[in-house]
Amino acid sequence: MSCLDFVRHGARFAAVAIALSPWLGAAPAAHAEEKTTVKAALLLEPQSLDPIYDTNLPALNVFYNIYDQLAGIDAQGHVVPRLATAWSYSDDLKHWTFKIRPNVKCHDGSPMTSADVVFTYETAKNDPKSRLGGYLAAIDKIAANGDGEVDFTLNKPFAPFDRQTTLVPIVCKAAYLKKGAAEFAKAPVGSGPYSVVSWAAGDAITLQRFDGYWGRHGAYATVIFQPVPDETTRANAIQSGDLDVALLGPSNVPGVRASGSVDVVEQPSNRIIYLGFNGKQKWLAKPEIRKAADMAIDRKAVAERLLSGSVTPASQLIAPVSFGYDPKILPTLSDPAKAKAMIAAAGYDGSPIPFSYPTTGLPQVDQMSQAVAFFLQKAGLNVAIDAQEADGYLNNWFGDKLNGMFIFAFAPSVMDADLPFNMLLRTGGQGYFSDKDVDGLLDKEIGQANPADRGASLSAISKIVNDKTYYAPLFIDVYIYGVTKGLKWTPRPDGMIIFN
Amino acid sequence: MIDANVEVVSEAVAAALSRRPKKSRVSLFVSVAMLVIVLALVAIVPFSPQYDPFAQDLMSGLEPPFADPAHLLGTDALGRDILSRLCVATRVSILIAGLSVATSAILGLLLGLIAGWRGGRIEKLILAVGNIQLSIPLILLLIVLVASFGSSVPLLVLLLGLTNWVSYGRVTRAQVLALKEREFIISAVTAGGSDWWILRRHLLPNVLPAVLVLCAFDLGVIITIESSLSFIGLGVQPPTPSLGLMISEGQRYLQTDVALTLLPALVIFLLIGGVQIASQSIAPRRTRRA
Repeated sequence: MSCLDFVRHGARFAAVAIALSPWLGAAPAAHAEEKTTVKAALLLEPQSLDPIYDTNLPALNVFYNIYDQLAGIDAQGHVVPRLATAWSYSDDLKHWTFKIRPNVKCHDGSPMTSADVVFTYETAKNDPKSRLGGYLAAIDKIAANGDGEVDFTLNKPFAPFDRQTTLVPIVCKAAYLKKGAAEFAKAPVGSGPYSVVSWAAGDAITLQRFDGYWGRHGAYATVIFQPVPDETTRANAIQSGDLDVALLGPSNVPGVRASGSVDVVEQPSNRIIYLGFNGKQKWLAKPEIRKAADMAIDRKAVAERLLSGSVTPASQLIAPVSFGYDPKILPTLSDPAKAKAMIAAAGYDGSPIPFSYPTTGLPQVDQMSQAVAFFLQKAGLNVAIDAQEADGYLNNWFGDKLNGMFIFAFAPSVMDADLPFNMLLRTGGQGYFSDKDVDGLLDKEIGQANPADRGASLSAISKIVNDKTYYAPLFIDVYIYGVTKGLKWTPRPDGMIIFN
Repeated sequence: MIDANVEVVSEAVAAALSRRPKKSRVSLFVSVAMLVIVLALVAIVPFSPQYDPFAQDLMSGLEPPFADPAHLLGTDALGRDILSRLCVATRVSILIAGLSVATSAILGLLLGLIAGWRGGRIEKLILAVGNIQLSIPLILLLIVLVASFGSSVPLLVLLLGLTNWVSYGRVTRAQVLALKEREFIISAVTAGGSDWWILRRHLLPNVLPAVLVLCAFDLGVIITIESSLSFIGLGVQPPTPSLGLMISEGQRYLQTDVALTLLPALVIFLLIGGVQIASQSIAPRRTRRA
């Protein structure tokens, strides 16, 4: 067969394949009722299955399935009993007592008791390398008393402490000590509705329903979590039936909807995408430059045109579903002419300002970042685009190594402003500024048991953030999922995918 | 075993040189037409009044080709003119491919000439280095290097050039080994010609045609490698486009706006296809000088 013959045959074959492709591409409808295995996509692979060391959202998503916390958050954002059946607190909000549910079993059959709770909290607090420990700074002492209760003594009044406990999945102490942390991180033992069967690094985390679970059992016998960072790959996989639940990128939504092969489900989220500023950078230290940058961005155009309405402009560092949101604060209106004038008036010399963003993990983040960067350039700022791989970017953010402006997001799974505000704004946190008024308000709100008062303090913090433009809140995410038709699953505002 | 592979490559190259295709005029015409389109893209488009590869206009995003007179080939999601971006992207891809192929070819040629002519320990050393480099998959090596050193156009050219010399070296060496036995070389040695003179005057002109054919093959390979690197985010950095980056940016719209991916892919086809067909049509006309 000569070369030309091969080309001719190949061309014929290709033509036939292209003609048939609409039919070849349509996946057979999955019969959700007969399913025993469900596959869900994670946006990134967890770095570890040990909750003491990995606190990231993909890991937390798995943890919500395999561990219990003292309290949980339901799909409406309310705090509900989980491992703890009830709790009480002192008037000064510094002493909390949680009653531990009896007859809870770990996946290996051993009992889950207050000793496991104390062990988890203490191990996290005492290890400086523990990221979970960072959330527990308010805790002075943890002790199990003989009545199946755990007492917490805090070093300051902490009104939403029950919410805070939802961040701490409880590990089974005996298994943890027996395996050691390194082994436990790959083969963990918890008490949640699913247990880990295997973790094929880079490929999938396979979970199996735990029939000894005290609470509502999982809807499916096997759950497989697969890290699929690329939006288009997720969209293709959900349409072809390789995945049952997948978060869709905004650009893929029209195509997936049009295909009709899966359900498309929307859920307003708790995630805020923002533009951060490194206050130590020469020009970003000037509030006028930051304010001008904030004003230069046309949030509405990006939200409606580029991101197909899957985000809405944000006005503060938390979403409407989170406690502390103030609907009276409005998003910055775009005013490019004023922004340009402000930058010129500040004496900006044209030296490049780094503009960093992670290449995966946020909706169409490369295009969103280029669009934002272009608005800044039009206003006169010389931005030097610095795209980083997502894992390295996260480490750089934690390590204060982002040197200019940066795009990032925060989705507080506790759905309360205290956590993001502390991480992003408090002196010594992950932010790049120090403001005594903000610190003072943070100290105040944490001790206010009355929600109305607490809400007012949090709102005051948001106003300072916007006044001084410590951050430019950009967008509130709407999570849009492709879901196998008939699947027993509802989305949550925190983006956690659970099956019980 | 290694020499057997090189023999196969050498024979294929020799066959390409001596083959006379029946339709060489048609092929030449087709290839020239393809390359003229690419040349027009690179050289003429920048002079059109609508040329602006970087200006964004979110209100005019994702316009299809031929719908808007201001944007002949449509716009991407950020409202940037695709024709202008194709122009810059093609330049970038040609620049990277051209320079890195030249680097590998020169490096491989030199090392191959020295290895083949001198023999002995030098030859063994050069072959050993080449073998070690060949045993590491090229894309993986590039990924590690780019992740360590960052990616910029000069760095990409250097890395692609330095990692790809081995095939040129081996083909050159094999040719030199064969030529060493020919009478004209032996008589040159007997006549007292210096190593350098023989390399330059006799070996190089006879080895060059084979290297040039390999260059033509390799141009396509390098363009594909650069496109792959850009596709995974390790090649040229935005907002500068390259053909691979444009395909990567377009692939999320494959279901709804195919042109975003198809157009840069078409340019790659024209470029690689044009060069390949041209090299096949032209090569037989070169005569070997003895």
